[in-house]
Amino acid sequence: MLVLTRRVGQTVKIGDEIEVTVLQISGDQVRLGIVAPRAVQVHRKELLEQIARENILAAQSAAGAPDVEEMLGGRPPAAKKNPDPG
Amino acid sequence: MTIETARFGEIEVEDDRMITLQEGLLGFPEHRRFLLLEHRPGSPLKWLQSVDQPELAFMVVNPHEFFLDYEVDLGDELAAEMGLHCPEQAAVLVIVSVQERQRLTANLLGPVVINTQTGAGRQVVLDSECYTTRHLLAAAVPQTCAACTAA
Repeated sequence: MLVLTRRVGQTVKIGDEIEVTVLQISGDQVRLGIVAPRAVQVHRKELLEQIARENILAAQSAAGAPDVEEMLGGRPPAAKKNPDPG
Repeated sequence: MTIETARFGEIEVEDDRMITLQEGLLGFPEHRRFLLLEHRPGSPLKWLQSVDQPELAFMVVNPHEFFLDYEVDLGDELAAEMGLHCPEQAAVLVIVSVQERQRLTANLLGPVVINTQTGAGRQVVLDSECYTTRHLLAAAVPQTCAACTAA
């Protein structure tokens, strides 16, 4: 891991198109400003990990579920608003 | 083509019903080819079934049948990348988990958006305080978001 020391207002460039600027520091929190091409997805890592964990739980829990429809409590399906793919 | 599934056995499907998730799902980057299968005719539950691994299937629902105010903002760049020019071209699915005591919850932070014409899709990450990865699936009622109403 590359380690750099930056002050508030200073910037790190990653490649030609990505800039990370330290905007504010208060206590153990750092506010970062990120400039990147819109095609580059910028997300908090824990959010990606949280969704990945839920995907894994979904795959495991659904595989073992005997009658999933009963868990919905016999709710009648609502009218469809959006077309299904395929 | 014929595909093998753990839940439905061997099934015959048209090639053009294939859904391709180029980046896979988070946590499952290597699985890209899926089919959308009905749980049962008329059921709101569907299955996003892996074409290549019979045991891998995700229970999904159309979020708009359960969460009336749910919105997915793709942004222009992502919409263009997916070849989506209007909302009608997109199908949105959310993945359902079975929690303790057999409660079903839907992940509204990571919807799967599919271009219904091309079958190309991806799991979109919504950085929204309004949604979580575990919304209880119940009768469709308007969801009021504490973060939005407080603002």
